[in-house]
Amino acid sequence: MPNNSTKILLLTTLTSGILISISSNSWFGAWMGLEINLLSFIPMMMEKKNIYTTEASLKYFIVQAGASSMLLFMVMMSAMEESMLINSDNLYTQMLMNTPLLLKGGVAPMHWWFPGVMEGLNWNNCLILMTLQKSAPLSLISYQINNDMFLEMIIVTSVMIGAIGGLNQTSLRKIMTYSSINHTGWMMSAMITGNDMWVTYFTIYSMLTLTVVSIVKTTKLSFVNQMAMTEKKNKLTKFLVFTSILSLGGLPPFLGFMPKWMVIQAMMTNEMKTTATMMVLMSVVTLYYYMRMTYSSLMMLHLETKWLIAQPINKTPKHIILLTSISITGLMMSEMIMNLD
Amino acid sequence: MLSFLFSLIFLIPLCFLNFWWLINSFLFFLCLSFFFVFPYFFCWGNLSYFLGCDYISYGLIFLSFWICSLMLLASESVFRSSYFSEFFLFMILFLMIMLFCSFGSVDLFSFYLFFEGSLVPTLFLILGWGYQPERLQAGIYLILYTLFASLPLLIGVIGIYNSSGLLCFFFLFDPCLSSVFFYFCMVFAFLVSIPLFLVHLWLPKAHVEAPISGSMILAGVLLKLGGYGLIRVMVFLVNFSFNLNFFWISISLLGGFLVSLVCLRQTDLKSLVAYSSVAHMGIVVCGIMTVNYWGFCGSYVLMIAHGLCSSGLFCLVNIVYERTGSRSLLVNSGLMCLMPSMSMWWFLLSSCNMAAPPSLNLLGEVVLFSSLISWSWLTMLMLGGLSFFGAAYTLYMYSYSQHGSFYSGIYSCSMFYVREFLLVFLHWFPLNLFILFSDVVSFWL
Repeated sequence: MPNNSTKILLLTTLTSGILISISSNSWFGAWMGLEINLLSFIPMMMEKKNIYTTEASLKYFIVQAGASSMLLFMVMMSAMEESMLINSDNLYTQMLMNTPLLLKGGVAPMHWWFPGVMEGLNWNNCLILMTLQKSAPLSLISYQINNDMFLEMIIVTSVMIGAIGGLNQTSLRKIMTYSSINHTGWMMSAMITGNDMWVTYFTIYSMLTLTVVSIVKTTKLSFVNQMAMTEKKNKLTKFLVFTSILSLGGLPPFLGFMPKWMVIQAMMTNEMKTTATMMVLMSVVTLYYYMRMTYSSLMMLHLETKWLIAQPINKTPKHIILLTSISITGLMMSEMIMNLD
Repeated sequence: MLSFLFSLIFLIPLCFLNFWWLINSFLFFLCLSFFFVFPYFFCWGNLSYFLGCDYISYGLIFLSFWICSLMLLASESVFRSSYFSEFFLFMILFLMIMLFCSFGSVDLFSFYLFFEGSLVPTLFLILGWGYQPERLQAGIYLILYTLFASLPLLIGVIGIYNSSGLLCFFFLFDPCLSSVFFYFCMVFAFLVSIPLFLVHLWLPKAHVEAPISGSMILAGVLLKLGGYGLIRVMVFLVNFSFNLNFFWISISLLGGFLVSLVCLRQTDLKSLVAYSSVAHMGIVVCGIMTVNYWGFCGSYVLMIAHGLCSSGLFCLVNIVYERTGSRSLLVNSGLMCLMPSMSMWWFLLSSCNMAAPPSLNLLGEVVLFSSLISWSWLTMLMLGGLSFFGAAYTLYMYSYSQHGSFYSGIYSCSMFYVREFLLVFLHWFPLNLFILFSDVVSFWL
């Protein structure tokens, strides 16, 4: 009997909640899946018995429960008009149905709970919150999406808030949150332009986030200034590991550039060049804070403290090496394999 | 072409064994074997996979091989003091691979991809092996200036793909763009990386903070990426460029003149050379923007010439810096008493920088001036000023650093190493030798 059997149970129900909601054929089933997902994530958050996780889980519960009841309300409203099985073509109904889902996913104008909740969690739960918890609401949105002003506004605000909000942060969790908000904006535009392109974007984003989170989790980092205190000896490994943060930022020769390239190409095909320009300019701004995270590995010689708060990695774990090498060389490898023309 | 790419990739394991001179000689060897892929025809040759080369890419790939091998020769102190030299070798090879792929790629998108990719190792060179803490600011300037301009280039490239259906350089000659927005996207990224006058601020900062290898590759090859890209895109931008190019020409002519004046009051040797390369690359921009045959030829010649010449000047500055520990003109005056034989090389490279006769710079400037004057005789006003002040600031640099009384705080230093003579000679020799092959470097269309 493993020690953390409750965690295994909760992770299973969390995943099954996501699967129920994305594969149900009625809106009521989707709502039920979201609730199962929420109720199994809440006990997972309260892992340590300190005040931060309790606060975070309380915030998360209030926001998500409110969003769920709003969603249920909207579902019943539209069911009175038409049926619970079909998606409405009415733009207002779509907008009203999308809003609670956007709130659940933490997309920009409804993102206010997101940094606060992330701040209180440990890195494992942060990873779940940034990747798994977004998948159900985003795929529900992708079922009933249209290229209208409302979603354009959502995209532009989430890209901008994700870029500008992260600028002045020192906490790594907050920076990762804002980067997640920014990437969600990109996913929304992938959703508008192509059917399942957002799945590719989401998969690559999740992998890059997994890389970064597993690095900061192993080194037990939470703030930007602690990045300088990791691994003094092996500069090359340190450099390679922290370059995966630039990959998350979408700097060209790394894997993170590939989903952005796909999205921009699809947007240009759909004549959305103003939004696309806005998005790429904002991704330059995000690169500023990603680069600030990696300063310590980019500078070879700099002042380092003798005493370490952060745990030094004596030997970088194998899974980090694997993930890092994928996230750095992924694009170049696919460049060699695919024919570009 | 693919054989060169793979031989570069398989040099990477040697970095981690720290075989500095072996890698250096292999790079020279690759450079010499690259002679044999010379394209004997006006169109793309040596096609393999996504790589190929015509005359323009041939010269610039050759230049980047040459400068990369000389970078290893110049930054021997990294190896001597084992300042993370394995990692340094890895960065240089990574940069070389990126440059090789970007100059050699036959379609616009992979050119864009590797153009962006070459920024990353340059950033690492500046941040990793630079001198002062201000190198962080310089690195941020470099990356934000260039990315801010070149991410819209991605939009432009995809816009071209949507309207023409292909991105291969060889087939892209029809004017296929529909709006000024795309023209601006296509041109501006290259203008920032050249750099054009008003967006040049990142360059002197990056040069001042960069180690010698970073300065050499920046001045030698990375600025040429912008010029190369402009030559490539001007071919299919003609419907807008006839109307709008006068704007860039006037900015860079006036800017080149003003930057020449700025050069005259620099006290930092490295930033003087950096500003002088802004002025020279300004003429290159003008030549490309006139969209005539002589302009293209002249820009190409001046790009090759300036790559060798300014990289050589940076090497000379670094040789002095390694001895006196300063780049200031106030400290480094009267060097003729300290290093009399190096003084000749200062003279030779300075005279090349002011386009004195047997150099490739002269050929480039003569061709460019005639193309610009044929475009409009009014450019003569600014060209005269540019040419005169170009000579003036180079003379100022030469005479102030070589003549006069030397700094009395200097304790002792070696006069020269043979490595350093070889380094400067290998910059100067092709610069004056290639004038004999000027048909190759200028008549390629």
